[in-house]
Amino acid sequence: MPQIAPSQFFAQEADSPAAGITIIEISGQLDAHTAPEFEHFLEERVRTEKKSKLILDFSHLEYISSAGLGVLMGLIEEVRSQSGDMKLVKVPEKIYHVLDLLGFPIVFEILPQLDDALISFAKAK
Amino acid sequence: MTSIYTITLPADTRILAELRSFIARNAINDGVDAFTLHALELAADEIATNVIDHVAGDIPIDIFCQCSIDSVQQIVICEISWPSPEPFRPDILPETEHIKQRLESRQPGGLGIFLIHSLVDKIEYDYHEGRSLIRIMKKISR
Repeated sequence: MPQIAPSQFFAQEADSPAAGITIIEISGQLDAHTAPEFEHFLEERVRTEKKSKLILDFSHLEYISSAGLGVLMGLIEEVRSQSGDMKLVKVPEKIYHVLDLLGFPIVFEILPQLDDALISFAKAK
Repeated sequence: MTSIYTITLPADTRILAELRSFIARNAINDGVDAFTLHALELAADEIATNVIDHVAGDIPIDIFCQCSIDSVQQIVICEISWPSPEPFRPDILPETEHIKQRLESRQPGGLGIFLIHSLVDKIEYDYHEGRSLIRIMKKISR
């Protein structure tokens, strides 16, 4: 294997202004190489820490392929079965285009800003 | 005038960033717009990911990519090939309704193939001298 820099991906929890709502900031490139790391990160929050109201901040996400989108699809039903949801915010235009091509807006709530997602969770109570 | 660029990479998920970067740096040099570039990067990534996931096993294989950028016809053609004992034939090409059903039933399978077909203008499958080849073509948007 020649010296090749693989994709880089980071996920971290940000301070949340609302109790019970977890904000996750995602950055870098989400492809078949990094999707397992993303899946592990989300599963830890959902299955181990029992967090079910998630807001995913995509503002620093540079790239996503079907491997990354598959992770979201794989967990959405699980969080909803725990009376939660997974909402996507600040999605860059080129990434929204991919989501839209695949019909993700049918399944996921995709909102412009963090406050919009917080309001949406508040209304759902 | 047509510019031709090639790269050979091992079939491993660690090369996906390099494959996208190869397409990006050559396409940008030849003035390809950002929308076309992103579509080509993503389509090539999805093809390579399918090869890595479904073809590459214990025996290391290579993925060869050739991009031709025709600045007169305003078209980019990327060919991705890999060693294969028999021709690759996509047995499942999900229709839009099929993908909608998969989304509604939360089944991620088939998203990649559907994306490839949605992103490019034309896709062809070929087989030559023991290698399967997928050729994707996209008009430059500018």
